[in-house]
Amino acid sequence: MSAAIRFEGVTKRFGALAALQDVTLDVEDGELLVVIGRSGSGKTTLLRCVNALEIPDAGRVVVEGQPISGSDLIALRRRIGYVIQSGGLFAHMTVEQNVGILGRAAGDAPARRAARAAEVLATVGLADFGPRYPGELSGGQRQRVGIARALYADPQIMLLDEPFAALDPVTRMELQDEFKRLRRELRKTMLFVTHDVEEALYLGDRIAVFDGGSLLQLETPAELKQHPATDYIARFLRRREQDMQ
Amino acid sequence: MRRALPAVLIALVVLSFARLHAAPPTIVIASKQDTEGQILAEVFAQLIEARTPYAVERKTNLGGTLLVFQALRSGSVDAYPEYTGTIDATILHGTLSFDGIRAAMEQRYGIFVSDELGFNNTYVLAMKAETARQLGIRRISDLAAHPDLRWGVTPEFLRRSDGLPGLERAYGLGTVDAVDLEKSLAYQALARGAIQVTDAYSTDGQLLRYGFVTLQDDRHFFPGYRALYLVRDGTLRAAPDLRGVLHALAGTIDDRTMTAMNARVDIARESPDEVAAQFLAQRLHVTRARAADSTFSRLMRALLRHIELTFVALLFAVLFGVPLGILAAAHAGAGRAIMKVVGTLQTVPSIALLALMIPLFGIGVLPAVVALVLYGLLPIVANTLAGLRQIPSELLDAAEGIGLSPRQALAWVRLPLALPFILAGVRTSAVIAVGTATIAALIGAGGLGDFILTGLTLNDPATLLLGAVPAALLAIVVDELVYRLGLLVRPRGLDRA
Ligand SMILES: Nc1ncnc2c1ncn2[C@@H]1O[C@H](COP(=O)(O)OP(=O)(O)OP(=O)(O)O)[C@@H](O)[C@H]1O
Ligand SMILES: [Mg+2]
Repeated sequence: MSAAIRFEGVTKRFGALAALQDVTLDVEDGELLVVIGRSGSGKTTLLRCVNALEIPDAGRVVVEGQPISGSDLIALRRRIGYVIQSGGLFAHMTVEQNVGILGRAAGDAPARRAARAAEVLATVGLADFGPRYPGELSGGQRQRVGIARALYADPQIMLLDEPFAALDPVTRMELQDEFKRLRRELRKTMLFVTHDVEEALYLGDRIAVFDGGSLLQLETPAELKQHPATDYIARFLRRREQDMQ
Repeated sequence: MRRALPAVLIALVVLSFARLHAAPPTIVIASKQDTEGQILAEVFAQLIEARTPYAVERKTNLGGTLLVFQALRSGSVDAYPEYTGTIDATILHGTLSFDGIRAAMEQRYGIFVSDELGFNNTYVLAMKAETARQLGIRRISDLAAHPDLRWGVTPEFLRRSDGLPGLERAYGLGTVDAVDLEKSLAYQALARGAIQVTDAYSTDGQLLRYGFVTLQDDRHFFPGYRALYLVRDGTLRAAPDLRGVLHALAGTIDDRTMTAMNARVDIARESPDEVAAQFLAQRLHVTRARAADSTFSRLMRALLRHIELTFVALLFAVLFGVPLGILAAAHAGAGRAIMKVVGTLQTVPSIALLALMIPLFGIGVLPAVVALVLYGLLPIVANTLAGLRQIPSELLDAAEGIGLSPRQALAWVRLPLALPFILAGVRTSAVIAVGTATIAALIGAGGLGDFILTGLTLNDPATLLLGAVPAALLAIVVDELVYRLGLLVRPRGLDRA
């Protein structure tokens, strides 16, 4: 199996701070790789290196066999679905316009855009929400519209930055279930950021644990549960065990 | 529909330019803002209309000697009334004889100096007729024998060397007992007997109203301010019949006639237009070729012109201001430079900005629009910049991260999100344009300012309000209109977020 995304010794600094430190990591084709770590550990920065919103200071990122270079970043980004941490919906556009914006950029006919937008909105369970504005949606609905927008161009790779953050536990569980179903339908490569261990264990094919910009552990959920290498995970698992008793 | 909008805008721009450049083959007669100048301009204009085939355009509210003379030199104006003393002091900076003035103006500027009209509007001393008769004063030299008289003079006259100090020396008056008083107050004080002597202009209509007498300048101390017309040589070549008109007017207006005409405008509130017509009828047996426009039709023309000035200026302010704001948002360095320039423009007093336009664009609508555009830029540029800056960075990241090109991100995301700010800037700019356009009349652009300036000049509140009230209403209407237009184009989703 070839790597869909390959990080080769990637370092990214903001001034004196190293947000990513010599990260080497392969995301396999069709895999859902969860990136977990405490706040500020570099998860978002890792994601932004894939669609070239950040350019590494050292090392390189290879997407589908092609190293990211300065040329034609726009084409690269359109091949990668991007779900932004806070939703990132455009308030002046309807849900349908938000979802179809890449169709507009690609010059799709309006009818084709509307049809495709309806299709992906149905996929995330928001079939009738096309005419609404983001301001008229709940937080969970907005997050789902963000996912629908990323699905529009049917990208082989998706980057999801805490898509279910800031939701009540029950809604989050519903969305996670829905997402799991969706994932079985669409065999895409996904890089999924969260700081919720439960979510990571539930959704991930493999889990990459980050701390202070470094990759500390890369395991399947089962392995991770067996021998957590970080205090972060270990403490969480201990706590859960206590609860179950 | 959407595709038609750019085409309509371009058509508007082209049309407005075409209008600005359509120079009608007519004689442009100007004057400054004073009553006398306006009457003399009308006299010349009406006689041209009666006796020649040329059409006449009037610009009778221009703001000051240097401004109107600049306009004459640049060709925006063909002729205007002027005084020998003013030409000497302000234009040629010399003390020349009439022939000297005529030769110098011809050589230096290519401007023809007409024969004198007859009267001399210079400084005079005025007294109550009764007092003068009792004391036996007829000439200024008679005042030497009456050092006890109280003088009330304008501040300017009190200090100028060609005013009171020089007069005291020339006539050996010693130091007279003088207080400085504003002109209209001085007249009232003289009428009540609080003072006995004041300075005045020899053709001031107020002298007739109060029945004051003027004292003969028997030692010829005051310089002559003899009225005449200045006409461009080029105009005389293109319109040779003007020579006959000038010839017919030479020597026809003496001091008494001019004073009486000024009084009819300043005191009896007749229009300069009617007064000039009656003078021509009596003196030169000219019947009016063109009926005077009704006040209503003049007001409507002024209003239309005002609206035209405002909207053309606003259109260009938006056309330049929004891209400048975008540029300012894109590069911090360029942004600072742009804001500095645009901000500085705003601090230039509007009257100065208008005056600066004259050497570049002459007078009329074009320089007025340019000045209004420069003036209206700041709110639009500043608000475009502020609107673009307030967009949350995560939305900019979203636009970039999903693969929009910089142009798509600007057109589809950044500008729409900045639009409420930009519209607020356009609204401010529109109201500024309506207000500033009222002084555009000073450089011959017309508009409601013509009524306001005339009202101020003639001290006529009715005429002033005729301009000021519609201007104020127009500001309110334009503000509301731009606001409503804004609601139409404002993205709907922004009201709900
Ligand atoms: N543009 C930037 N300029 C300066 N520092 C930055 C910038 N972006 C991120 N950082 C810093 O880099 C570190 C990693 O940030 P990053 O956003 O990747 O964290 P994260 O793991 O996504 O955190 P969270 O869970 O809170 O979203 C943080 O310390 C952050 O302050
Ligand atoms: Mg993050």
